[in-house]
Amino acid sequence: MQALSQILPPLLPKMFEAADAIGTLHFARFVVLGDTTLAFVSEYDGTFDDYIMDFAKFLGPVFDAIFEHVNNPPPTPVAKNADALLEWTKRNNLDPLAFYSAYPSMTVQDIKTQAVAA
Amino acid sequence: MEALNLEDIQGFVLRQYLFPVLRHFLLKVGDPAAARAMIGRLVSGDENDAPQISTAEEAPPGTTYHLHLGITYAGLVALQVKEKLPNLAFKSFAAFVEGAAPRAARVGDVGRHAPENWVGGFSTGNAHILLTLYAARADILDDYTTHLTKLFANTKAFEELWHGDGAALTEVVNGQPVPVPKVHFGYTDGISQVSIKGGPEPALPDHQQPCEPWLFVLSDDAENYYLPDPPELSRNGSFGVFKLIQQDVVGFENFLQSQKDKIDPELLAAKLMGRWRNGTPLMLSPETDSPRDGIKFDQMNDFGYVNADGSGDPRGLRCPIGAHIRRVNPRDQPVTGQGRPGGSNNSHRLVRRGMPYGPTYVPGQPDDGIERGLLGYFICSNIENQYEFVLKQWVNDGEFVGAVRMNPKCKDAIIGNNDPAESIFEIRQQDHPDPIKITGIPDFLTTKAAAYCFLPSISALKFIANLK
Repeated sequence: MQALSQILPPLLPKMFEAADAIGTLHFARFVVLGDTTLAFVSEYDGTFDDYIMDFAKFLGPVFDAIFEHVNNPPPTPVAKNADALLEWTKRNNLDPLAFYSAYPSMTVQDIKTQAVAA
Repeated sequence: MEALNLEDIQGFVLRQYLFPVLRHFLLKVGDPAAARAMIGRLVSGDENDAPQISTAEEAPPGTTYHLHLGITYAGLVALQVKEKLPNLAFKSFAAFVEGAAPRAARVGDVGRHAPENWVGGFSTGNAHILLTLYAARADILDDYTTHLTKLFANTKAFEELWHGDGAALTEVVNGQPVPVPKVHFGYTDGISQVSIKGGPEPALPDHQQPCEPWLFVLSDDAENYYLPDPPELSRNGSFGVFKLIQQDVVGFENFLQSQKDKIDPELLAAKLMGRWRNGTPLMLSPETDSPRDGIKFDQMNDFGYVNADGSGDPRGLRCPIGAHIRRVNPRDQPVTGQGRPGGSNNSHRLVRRGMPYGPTYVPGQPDDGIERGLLGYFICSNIENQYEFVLKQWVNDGEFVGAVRMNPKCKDAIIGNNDPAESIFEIRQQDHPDPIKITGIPDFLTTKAAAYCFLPSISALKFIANLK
């Protein structure tokens, strides 16, 4: 986990750029849950599946670096294994007990529009 | 990066033919061994034995036809390719394996567009091979048709399920009909084509980076997939989505006229498309289709929507955000699935090879009841991420773009699966705070058939022919 907390910060600017490019991601963060557990928590619009190729392409290098430190990772490079990443993600996904949104009908693109107009 | 192997790639992937007529044949495999042998004869190099499939090399002068061949996944099974190649796997290409019919709803083909209403056996498991024959003249088309039909019947290789003819629309010049690059609804087509790095036909300048070849030709260099197994079968191949689309030309003209109290019908036609019907882009000439200084043909595609600094037309005052050409190729417009302002490319592009069917319709003429439409062929390396993505996210959705909030019900007015009860198209104006709201837009198209085809390389067709 110590290795990960060192490699992650320099990768983040690239990750933010990638998230901007995909344009469906509201929030994302990495949270250390213990010596051997890292959580990736994100909120995004629509289905993950339709954008999987974009996620894999834009975020591929970031996830490749992370997966070097993960047990039983999906095959890398993830850019070329988009469907395996999708399958692995679904298998390891944890559903929340409850989820609240203050603006359930607003997409990232809608909110960016409002921000531009303001 | 390896250079494109033009002699191995099917010609129409990389080249746009100017021939005025074509015929598509949907074939069912008869005797599998005979069918594989027949495929071999189409790539043997022996013109006297059988018509030959065209490569992407420059055609010799005097070439009068081009032949192309696509195989569905059901076709690979029927040809016993799957049985003879135990390692056959299109692992990252689930859409191709599943086929067009089960996935129709994803691209909006429901209701009257649904597979149960498709013609010619396209929705059955018997849609195996799609053969496409282009010719310089109608009599040449018939001659090669006769030759092919005889070969197929004599060898019991294939059984024809359906064929469909396309022909360039015409305009009368000096009393003679001459072919024009137009499609039904009256728009000049084919101006915007994908520019492929190392491709044999540079496209018109378009403010976009050329695409990587692996986006259209399966390659070891690809960034986002591995070649399907075995590579002898997949390398230098492509995927093609064939689509038979009926167009309601009378309905389209009537709809334009029905809005004339709100907006001039020709301006409405331009706003819906993003180009005037003569091809002049709104981004270069928002007020008229005939700007005083003129626009040279090679400038007709030389524009973007949003510059890196956010300037340009981010709010769609010139060209509406929801206009057809701004949806299917957003260029430098930031949208979901593609970059930031000024970003110039994306991985969702398609090579378009379409031909109209049915005679030219002259607006204002009464409805002659003749069916018209488009025989579309959309070529890519990943059907999910290119063809299906564009239709689902950008054509049939109103929330893919951030600069302006479109009505969530707003779909592509030309090709979207619009429901007149809720459809809406907003035209923003420079000099007025409120947009012109066009409502009640019907769905002008009907999907009559579709097929997800693999377009093998020449060497892959020989490989199939030689399977024992």
